[in-house]
Amino acid sequence: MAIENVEAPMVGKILRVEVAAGNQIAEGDPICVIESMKMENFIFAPVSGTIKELKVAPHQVVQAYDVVAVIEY
Amino acid sequence: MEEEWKSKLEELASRRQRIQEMGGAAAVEAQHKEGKLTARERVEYFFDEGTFTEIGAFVKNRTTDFGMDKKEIAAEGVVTGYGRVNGRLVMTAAEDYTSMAGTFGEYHAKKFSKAIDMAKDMRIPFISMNDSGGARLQEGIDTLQGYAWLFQSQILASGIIPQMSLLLGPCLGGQAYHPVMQDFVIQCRKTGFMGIAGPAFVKTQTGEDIDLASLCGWKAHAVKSGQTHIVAEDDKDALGKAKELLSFLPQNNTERPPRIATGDDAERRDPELYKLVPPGQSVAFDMHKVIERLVDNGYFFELLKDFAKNMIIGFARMAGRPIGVVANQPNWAGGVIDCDAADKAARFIRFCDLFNIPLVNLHDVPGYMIGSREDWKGILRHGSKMLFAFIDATVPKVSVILRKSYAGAYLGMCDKDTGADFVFAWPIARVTIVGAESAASVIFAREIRTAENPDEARAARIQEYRDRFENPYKAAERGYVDDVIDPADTRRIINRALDVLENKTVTRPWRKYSNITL
Repeated sequence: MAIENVEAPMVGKILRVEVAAGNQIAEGDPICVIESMKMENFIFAPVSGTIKELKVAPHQVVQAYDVVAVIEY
Repeated sequence: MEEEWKSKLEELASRRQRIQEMGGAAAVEAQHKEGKLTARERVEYFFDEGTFTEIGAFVKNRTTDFGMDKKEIAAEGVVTGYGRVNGRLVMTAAEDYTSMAGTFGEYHAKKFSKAIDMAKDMRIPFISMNDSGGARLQEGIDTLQGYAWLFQSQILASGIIPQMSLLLGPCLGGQAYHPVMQDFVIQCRKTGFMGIAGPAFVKTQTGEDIDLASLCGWKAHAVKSGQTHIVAEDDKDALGKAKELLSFLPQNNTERPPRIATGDDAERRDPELYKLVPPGQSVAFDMHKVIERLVDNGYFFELLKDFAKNMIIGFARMAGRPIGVVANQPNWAGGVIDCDAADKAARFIRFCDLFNIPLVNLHDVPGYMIGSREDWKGILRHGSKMLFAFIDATVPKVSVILRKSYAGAYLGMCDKDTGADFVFAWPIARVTIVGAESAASVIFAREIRTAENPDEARAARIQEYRDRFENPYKAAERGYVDDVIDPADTRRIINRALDVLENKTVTRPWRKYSNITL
């Protein structure tokens, strides 16, 4: 099993979280939405696997490269 | 035949045969076991059948230290020569890992750099096939000097002929500057490695423990460092992608890129575009889909697709003409331009300008990225590279504002006065200096503060600013936008613009070059 750390591409506020820990996720599925620069930015799963850990919740501010989720695949 | 002729020809054949065998059967087998082709197999596969002509097959190093005089190194570990790719001449230097690990010594370097010099003088593209164990340390300073010959040759050829590197094996140490200083790098997923130093040296010098694939593999450069333009599955895929890339390029900077018949109607209308772009400004969409609808047959050759994904660059054809596409990607970080995105776009714009490839720019951008991280990283310095690149470029430049283009990013993505020959906007476009919320809260700060109902006053002023400026017509009134267009007509309108720009000429006062914010 390998681990993929999913990082936020930019600073912003978490608007919604679309998955929960333990969920199966397919590559390209949305994990969460970050609001920044007037845009709703979807963070997509880079690989298919299981959400091992979810590191963010709505309203939380994340910095660029902060890990938002950990996928085990 | 006279006896003497016969023996001379036999000697030639036998000498050539030894060189053709490269490092010998065992070394060739080891190369194949790694999933790699040999240098000669690569050359054979790359060029049109039977067109390759080798140069300097008999070149041999002159080192006597450490028993080097007793060593046979076929072709000095690098096969150089020229041939035809889809009928067009191309020069190559293909490193041969089976011959003393393709190590880079004095005469290896001479062959390599002379091939580039010749490509430059003959005005034909140069392709390097890198697969080398690194510097030949037995040759000391002569090896080090050899890097200088290589770098000098390639840099003096830069901007005259297209140059690209295929990382088909390792390319570590000083040699690794060679690929990144060419125009494009194609890296093999499993066998291509590039880095300023390998894991062993990193470990002894810094204590960092890291394996070769993590430090120097495809992810390191296609995703993190932004130096590998294309990732290939294996040697044949890499060679095929190089040929595909060459098809978009002219032979040199005095020629136009080859225009071909693609069979796609230049005037084709496309109502599908209404569905692909949501009018709601904060909703993301995939810009790739828009590009594919606009260009001939949906064929888009993307570069650096896994690096700074908020910016899309690549080649396509429109009405058969090769074009460079520079587009924001709302699907990644909202399409905001950060330092990496700006670097990615700027170098591509300059390449297109050097090689007479028109630029089509698709705006959907909220701005340059703000905040301490980007400001301290130098977003002003990096972001302004796009301004330099677009304003300096003399090739045809056509911009289309799909949805929004705000503030500095509107200028950086090429507007009417930062280089565009034509700017078109869709009716849903918002072209202005800041969003209505920010603008109204600054302009009417006092009024809002002192109003009986501040929220109502703010909302009214925001709406007023929005109605006045958040549309394409204000910019069109001034001529900053040449026309507001029906999205379905975008392809036709770009093609007509490129037609009229076909013989665009620009004359400017002499200078050595602009002082771009490197």
